[in-house]
Amino acid sequence: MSAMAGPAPLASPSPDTAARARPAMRLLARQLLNRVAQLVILLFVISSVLFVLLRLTGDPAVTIAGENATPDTLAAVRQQYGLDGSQLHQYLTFIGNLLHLDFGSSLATGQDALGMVGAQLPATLRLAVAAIILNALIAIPVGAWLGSRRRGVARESASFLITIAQGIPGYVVGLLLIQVFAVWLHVLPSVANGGFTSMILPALTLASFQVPKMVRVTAASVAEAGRADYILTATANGASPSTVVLRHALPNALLAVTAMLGAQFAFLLSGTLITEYLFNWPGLGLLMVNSVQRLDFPVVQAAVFVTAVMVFVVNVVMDIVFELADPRLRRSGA
Amino acid sequence: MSTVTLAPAVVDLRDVRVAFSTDRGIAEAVRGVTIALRPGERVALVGESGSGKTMLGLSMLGITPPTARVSGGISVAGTDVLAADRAAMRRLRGGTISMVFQDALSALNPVRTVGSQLVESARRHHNLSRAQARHRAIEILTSVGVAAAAERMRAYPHELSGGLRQRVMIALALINDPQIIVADEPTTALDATIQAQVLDLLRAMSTQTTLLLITHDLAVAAEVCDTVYVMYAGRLVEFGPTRQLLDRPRHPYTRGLIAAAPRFDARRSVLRPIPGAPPRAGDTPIGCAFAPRCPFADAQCRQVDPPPATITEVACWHPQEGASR
Amino acid sequence: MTAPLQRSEAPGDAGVPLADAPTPVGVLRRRAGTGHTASLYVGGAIAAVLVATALLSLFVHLGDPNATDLLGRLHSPDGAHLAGTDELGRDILARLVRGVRWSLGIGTIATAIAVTIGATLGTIGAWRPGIVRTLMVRSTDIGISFPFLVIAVVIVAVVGHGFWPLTLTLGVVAWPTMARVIYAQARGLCEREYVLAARLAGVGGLRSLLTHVLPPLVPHLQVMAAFTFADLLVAESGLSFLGLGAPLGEATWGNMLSASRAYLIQAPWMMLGPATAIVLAVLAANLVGDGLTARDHAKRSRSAA
Repeated sequence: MSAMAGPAPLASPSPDTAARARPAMRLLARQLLNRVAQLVILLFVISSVLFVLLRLTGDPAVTIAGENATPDTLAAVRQQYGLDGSQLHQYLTFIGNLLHLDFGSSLATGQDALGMVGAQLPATLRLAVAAIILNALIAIPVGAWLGSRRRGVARESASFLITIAQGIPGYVVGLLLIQVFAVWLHVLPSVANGGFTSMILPALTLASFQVPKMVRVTAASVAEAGRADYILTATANGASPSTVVLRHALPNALLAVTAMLGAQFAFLLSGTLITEYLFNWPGLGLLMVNSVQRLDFPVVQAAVFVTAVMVFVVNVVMDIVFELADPRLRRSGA
Repeated sequence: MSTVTLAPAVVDLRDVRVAFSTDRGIAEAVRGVTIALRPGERVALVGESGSGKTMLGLSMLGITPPTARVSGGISVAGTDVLAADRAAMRRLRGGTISMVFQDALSALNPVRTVGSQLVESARRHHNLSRAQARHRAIEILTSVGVAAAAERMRAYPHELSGGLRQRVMIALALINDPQIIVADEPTTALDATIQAQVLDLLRAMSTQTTLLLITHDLAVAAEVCDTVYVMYAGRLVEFGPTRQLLDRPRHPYTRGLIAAAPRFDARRSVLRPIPGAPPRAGDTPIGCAFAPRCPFADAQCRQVDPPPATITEVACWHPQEGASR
Repeated sequence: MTAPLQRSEAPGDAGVPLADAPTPVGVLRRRAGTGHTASLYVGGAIAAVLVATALLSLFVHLGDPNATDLLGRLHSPDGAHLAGTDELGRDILARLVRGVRWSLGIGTIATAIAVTIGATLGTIGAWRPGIVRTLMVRSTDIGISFPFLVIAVVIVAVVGHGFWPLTLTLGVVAWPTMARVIYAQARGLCEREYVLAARLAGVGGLRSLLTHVLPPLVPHLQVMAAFTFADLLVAESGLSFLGLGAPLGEATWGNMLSASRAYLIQAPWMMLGPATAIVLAVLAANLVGDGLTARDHAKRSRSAA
């Protein structure tokens, strides 16, 4: 802060924007490397834990071959799946394969585990994106409306309804949607059939996992922004209530909401397990549920691995977006 | 009343009250204040925090908190603020009467450039194109002493120094050529050198603009204003021309304020604060609100409210005569 | 607005938004007097009814959840069967009642586990800087940011179905979030002057922990416990719904929902019964959590005023 003297020119003009950007990029790159390193450690830990856990369910060879298999069959199975040799040997082989992204073959279908996961992933991503869009379309307007209300009948009853909505688990919503739209009204299909209409109910169900919470968060953010001093300034300059909300409160509120959206991705993935199972949507969630039911460990390992990577990528992207969006964070230093 | 009326009041406050309902009942932050501002006047409203001065300022623009109940007569440039419809009020705010807030960092939208906030206000009150509004914004920024104004327009509030920010706030208040400016503690958050510059700015404003400077600092009031109104616990206790009030304060509270101001001449070495604390809104005692802290209070003071300052210039049963030092 | 349970405030923290934490309530229930305790009472009332039903069913025969009646299958609700019968002719209401025991049992115990582990580790992490804290923060980082159902599903595959495996699994999945919230709160408390003063005065670590840090945490723990209970209830029925939870045939709400899928056309009451039960139970827990949060805020703002 340079001292000023009367009406004379003030502090030096702000630094050139490009010059500010270079140190920012370097910082970003360093942070990114940090995060990637964390991811690698995380994946290593998860995979090792899985390795140990899955061995705890009993002899995998027995699981594969069945309870009544003869010792010869068991030996053959062991050899085929690399289950002979000491645990340490198996573990090292496992890690070695991991580095090549080789998760082995599915115990159920014999296909490459990672390949199966990769094949089902796009369907889940499509569903997730649809759900996020629906979520934003519903939650942000409702939340903004709720957050700008004064205490009164409208607000209290709306908030009570949201509390109730928060208490309805996703699978209940899904079943209700199926009951109403598929069974009683016959307007929407209840099972995935590749068509666009069959995405509607699953997307709505998946969105329902997060919509009430999103509404609450948006409302709180808008309300908090609404209490800020700059809102008073805007009003003191004659801004109408709608201008105040749309051009002053909401942009500030959306910062917090966007951060929340990123954090919600993990919950979204949890929701896909149930939603895909309910609607038979051929995605990663359904694959995981089926694989776990069948104790198809290679596929489970591959699926968990891919999930971890996805969550990481989304978190990093959201962090970057958040940093770029908030002008207060767009600085060249710490 | 000794003032000679030369022009109709541009701001006419009559027995204004601002009340809030709390769990403990109704609390009045402003308990019947009557002030008239003539065009071009520089008036200071002096009081401690809790005296209701900010609420009074907000009531003039009709932007008291929604939980506040405002009553009395509030007339700004001929418009009855309490009766006006919302559209009329929006035209008034920022156009006819504007406000400068204390903390420019929190009073400016952090995610928008200062330029966009200036332009928004200009376009709202005058039919200007974006380019014209930009031009006007740069003009006004320059006039308040912001160098390289065109570049500064693209800055975000947090990127500017405290003094610059406050100049932006003042520019925001001036951009539509309002008749009245209410400045609420405009220099409290600034350090001394910057304070002096901002006060210079306020003093240099056009003689047609009426200024109401709300402050707790008598020295600031003395620098800029010709008339001082002193508020305590929601009421006016004394008013008068600045020089006269400072040289011969008559209300014990005013005398206490002046005596409490730290001084650097050798004669005074001990700080003399006014003992006690001001009452909270809703907790005002019966009788004179200052009586618990007043060295001259007697039984009458504690039981009966002194007549309001509008009638007698000093709201006190025992106004003190003689110089304050 | 203070929503201390929504964002971790501890200095130096990764600033991970705690997505699972309770929702902010200040916006919605600041009415002095009636508003903010209403949810507490309503939620408490519903919870009391459920708990009473569960306890009662231990002693009084409220219908046999396992009695099949193949002739009377898929009957819509009537005098004999207030909630109808399912695909094997079993009385749905009796099964719902048995489900209360199951859900409340797992929910309570799993929440207790999560609270105990989470609060302990969170407090320790706040108290002791260095390796202990880093370890706690990193491990809970994983715990919060990873989809909990995925973890639960994998663990259940390992430990198997049944009451206790499920309880342990849920407790293990839930403690990281709890730990992080408590950690954030405890960090703030540990750095308060009076705690430092106590330590300088020679009060032992454990004692100052117990007398200064833990008591203010109790309201937060209560609120977190309520919301965690709600979440675990949903998680448990979700797992059962996926066929990875309660053993098949056991009368639990999740199982009943799963079975109802095949009969949505013929017997919609098979779905509506358990759905209503789950929604009521979760609603009760959420209302209690909301009410406790509001009461906490009110107390806080009153003392600060």
